[in-house]
Amino acid sequence: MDKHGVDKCVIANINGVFYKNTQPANEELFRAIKPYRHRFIPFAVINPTYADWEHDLDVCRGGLEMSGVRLYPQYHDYEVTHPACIELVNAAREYKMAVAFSLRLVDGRQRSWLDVDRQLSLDDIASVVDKAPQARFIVLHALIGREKPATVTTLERADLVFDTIYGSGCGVAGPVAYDLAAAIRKYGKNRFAFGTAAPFRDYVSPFLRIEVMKEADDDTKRLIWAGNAQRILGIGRQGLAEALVETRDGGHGDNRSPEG
Amino acid sequence: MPGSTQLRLGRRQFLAGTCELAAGASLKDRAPGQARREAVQRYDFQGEIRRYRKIDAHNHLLSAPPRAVIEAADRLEIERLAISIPQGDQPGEFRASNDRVLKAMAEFPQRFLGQCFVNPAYPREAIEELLRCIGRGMVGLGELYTQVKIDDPLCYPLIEKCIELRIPILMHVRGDLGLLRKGHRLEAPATTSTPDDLAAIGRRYPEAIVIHAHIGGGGDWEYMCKRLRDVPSVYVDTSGSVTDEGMIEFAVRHLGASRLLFATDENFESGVGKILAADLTEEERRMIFRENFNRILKKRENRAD
Repeated sequence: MDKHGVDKCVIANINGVFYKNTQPANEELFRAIKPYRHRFIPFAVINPTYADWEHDLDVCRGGLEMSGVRLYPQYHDYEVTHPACIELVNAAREYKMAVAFSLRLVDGRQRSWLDVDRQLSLDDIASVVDKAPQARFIVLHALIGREKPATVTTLERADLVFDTIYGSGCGVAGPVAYDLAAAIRKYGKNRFAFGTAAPFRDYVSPFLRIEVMKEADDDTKRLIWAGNAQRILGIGRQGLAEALVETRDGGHGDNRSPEG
Repeated sequence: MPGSTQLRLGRRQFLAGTCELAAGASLKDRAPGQARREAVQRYDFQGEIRRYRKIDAHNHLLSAPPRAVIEAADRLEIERLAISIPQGDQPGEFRASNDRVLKAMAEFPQRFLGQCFVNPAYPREAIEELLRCIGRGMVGLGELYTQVKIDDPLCYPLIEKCIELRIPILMHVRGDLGLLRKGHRLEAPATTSTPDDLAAIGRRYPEAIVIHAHIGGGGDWEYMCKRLRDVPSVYVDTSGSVTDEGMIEFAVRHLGASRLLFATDENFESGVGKILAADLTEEERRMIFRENFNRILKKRENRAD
């Protein structure tokens, strides 16, 4: 993070995907990042179909100081419109926590025979937004451009950001990517937040996507690097102040991240 | 070198080591609060892009017109791009695709290297079209797509002609679970070539210059590299949307840097980024970005530097 100019990053414990009871994963994360708490923005992994998730969420927001919730319906085996999922999204809103949905963890083409054969789409996210319109959403591994027109209308109304993992800033996008400039024209410059998917993906490509984008002005790039994530996380510029004072030394012209 | 060793966590290490590995990542061994005060040499993204000369061994004119592709290449400092349009089952259709490539080559002669697409199911027409395209300055055959598997006898005359012409054959390959194991959902036609097919053809024609397309193009890249480890005549291009941490290092370890060809397959930033991010020597990066493919081009003394 220091070398690449990242001040803070959103982080969740991948072990939460595999635990039936996800709370130990959140406790592991809390312990692991404690010495570096000022650099990480922890998200709790919650399975709303498991017993006593309400208490877990309360602990995560309180004692474990988590800023958001990350959901994996495909791995925890429920539909995004399951009443418990909607209840969790609304509860997170009450706690002023953002809700992140990861549309996929692994490229389906290279999945293991042990892995699930299911990915979420932006249409799935729209169905959640319809039922919990006041929540704040982060869409991870978003692929823009394949969603239904009705989905676009719904997502435009939501307080939501997409990550830039599949965005292309050079004006040409392959079949598993989207043209970032075109997506900004479609959804607006307040809807995209820089993300890396580290440590699972290389830690250079995500930066290049923004670096080479000539279509975006400095203001738009500042929003992508940090501003939009700050808004959705509810931390504002002050929230990064402590880290920025000690880490900024030029580099990118403005602070980077938090990552999605 | 981009990324510290602490950041180089593969999925397997991460799962084995729990979140402490990831959370501690680049700040390991430092006292809390101390890390951010240390002088850290920032990664110069634009400088690293400019640092290496590059030839893209696998690209297309599919989702954007020629000028847009050139502009994208300029942003990543890619000097030349091998392009094809793998569309058209019928002879008239694949000829039309190649005509578009020839037109783009004429428009940007210093930038585009043409690759000739054919459907091997039409052996006579495919050979005729290959000779036409090579005669007009194209540098290779491909990207052969999913019409016919590469180890189908229908492909043999084409491969033998490419050996005679000393030109490479770029083959679309997928290593999906559904293709490698029966009983799993197929996401690609059953006639899609697999790493097993490439290995078979590499053994049958060790003198051929066969390029396995996109280890990052979806599919099990570990399987791909391990299957081809002892088939030294087969090259592998690094393109595709998959940028898994450790993928390039794994390929170098199993195949050697001399068998890897930088390519994007329309994924410009990640095509460059995954090579820059990989834990490689300067020499290995130069080989992958340009020298290996340039050496292939020299075999025909055709459009090499």
